Amino acid sequence: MEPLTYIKPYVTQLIELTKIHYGKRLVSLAVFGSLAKGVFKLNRSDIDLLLILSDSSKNHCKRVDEFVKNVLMPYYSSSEYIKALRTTYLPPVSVVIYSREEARFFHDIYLDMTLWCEILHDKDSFLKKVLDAMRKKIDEWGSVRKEVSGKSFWILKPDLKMGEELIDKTKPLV
Amino acid sequence: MRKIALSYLQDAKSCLEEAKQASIRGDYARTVSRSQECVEYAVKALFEALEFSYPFIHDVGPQLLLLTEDERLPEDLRRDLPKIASLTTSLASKRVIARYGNQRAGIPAKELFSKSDAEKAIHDATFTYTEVKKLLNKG
Repeated sequence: MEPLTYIKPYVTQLIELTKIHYGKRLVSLAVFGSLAKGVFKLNRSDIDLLLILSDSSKNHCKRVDEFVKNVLMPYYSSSEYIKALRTTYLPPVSVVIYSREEARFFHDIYLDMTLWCEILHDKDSFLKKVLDAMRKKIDEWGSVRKEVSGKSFWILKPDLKMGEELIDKTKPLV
Repeated sequence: MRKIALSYLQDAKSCLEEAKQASIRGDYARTVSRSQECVEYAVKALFEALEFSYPFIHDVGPQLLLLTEDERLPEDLRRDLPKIASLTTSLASKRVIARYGNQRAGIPAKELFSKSDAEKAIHDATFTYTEVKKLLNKG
């Protein structure tokens, strides 16, 4: 079975648990990384999730603990997951959690997300607007994505002058 | 018992001591980072002692859940495995940010962890290390 086909039911379950737990607090939910890009490899890839919440603790530990307790552990403890884990490897989940306010600003995960991103929930098209604004910036800057030996990086502005500040962290994208 | 199990347990102990020292210095991000390593080493010591095959990744919480029905383990440890699995996953999820900070937002690690985060991490690491040590000392 293709890795993407194989992993799909597990991702679906993870998404459902996320939606149930966060409910109305969930502004946007997206899959990014290798899964969105379609190059997911069972033994080498993570399931990358981006969550944007209307209200989120400023404390990073508390954000992670809430996700682990209410989403990841129920996901890992489900009979389907345990059954599958007995016979095969299932990839770890990697989550990035932003508050709506934080998500308005530049984050480098948005760069690849302008190319590969599966938006699964998006209240008022918030994430779509952020990514559209990011695409506009990329066009303005003339940004180039490079891939060397399977590793990628971005040259944000090829003609950037020494000392020139590219990203104004006080100005949101949207 | 496999030598590597005892070696990992020793590594877990060293990490726990370093976590406590970091906490005394007020370096809470390093406390969380070392506590995570302690838990990872302790859990992998358990896997090695049982000759249980595990993936070479940092978050081995899900694999721990497979041992809840392993009758080689004492019942009280089996009962605690979901708790250890949860704190293994939780600390592993903080691993990168505790080492490097929020690179994406340019926030250093020291600004992301509080004293209470550090205290919880030490508590969780001590609990895991003690549980595994009890078992390995019996073996």
